[in-house]
Amino acid sequence: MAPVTWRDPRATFRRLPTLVIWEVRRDPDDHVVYTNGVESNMRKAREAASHVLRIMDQQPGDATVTSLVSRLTRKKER
Amino acid sequence: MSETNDALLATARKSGPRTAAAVELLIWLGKNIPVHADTYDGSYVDTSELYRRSRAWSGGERRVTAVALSLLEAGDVDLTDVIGGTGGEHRRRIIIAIVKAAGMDPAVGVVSPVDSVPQGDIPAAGPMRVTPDQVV
Repeated sequence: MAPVTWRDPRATFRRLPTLVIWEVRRDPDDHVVYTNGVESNMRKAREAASHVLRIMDQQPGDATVTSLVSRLTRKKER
Repeated sequence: MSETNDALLATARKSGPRTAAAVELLIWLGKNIPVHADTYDGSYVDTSELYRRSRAWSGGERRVTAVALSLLEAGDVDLTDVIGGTGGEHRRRIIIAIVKAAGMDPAVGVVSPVDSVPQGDIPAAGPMRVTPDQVV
């Protein structure tokens, strides 16, 4: 099994990461916002990542384990 | 790793990446994994007993277990509920398990909960609205 290493995300962004998972929450007006994300972070991620998956809760069931695994599997197969 | 865990992992790997990711996550958690004793074609997690035992564990351990149970198709938790309540290493392991379950190799990419992104020289900004075209 390949070792899993933890790297500085900023450094890794420059090395074409395959996946970034962003977590989100709902704000008091029920809009979806990034928990700790700032726009520049997201821009960097979108520029660098070949696959970006964000954990969304806009629709019930969107962020269940099964849903996320299915969506990632489809991305991998593309 | 114990013989029981070895047997569990061997069977799980034959079942596919999703089951293997679940068992690896449980083994990492370091708890005694309940196993079905009456199977003849391998060693399987007793998900009902695992759920029962997990109710006495810490919040982080329960959340990790809930994700593993979901990967074993014994429930389906929503990660927006789980991720928010877990700390660093639990959270990282959960995300790695999701990535592995999809057949991806987390070692070749980045698995990054957003709050681990260093904020240092990145200017702060207000919450960003998510528009439909941004939904993956």
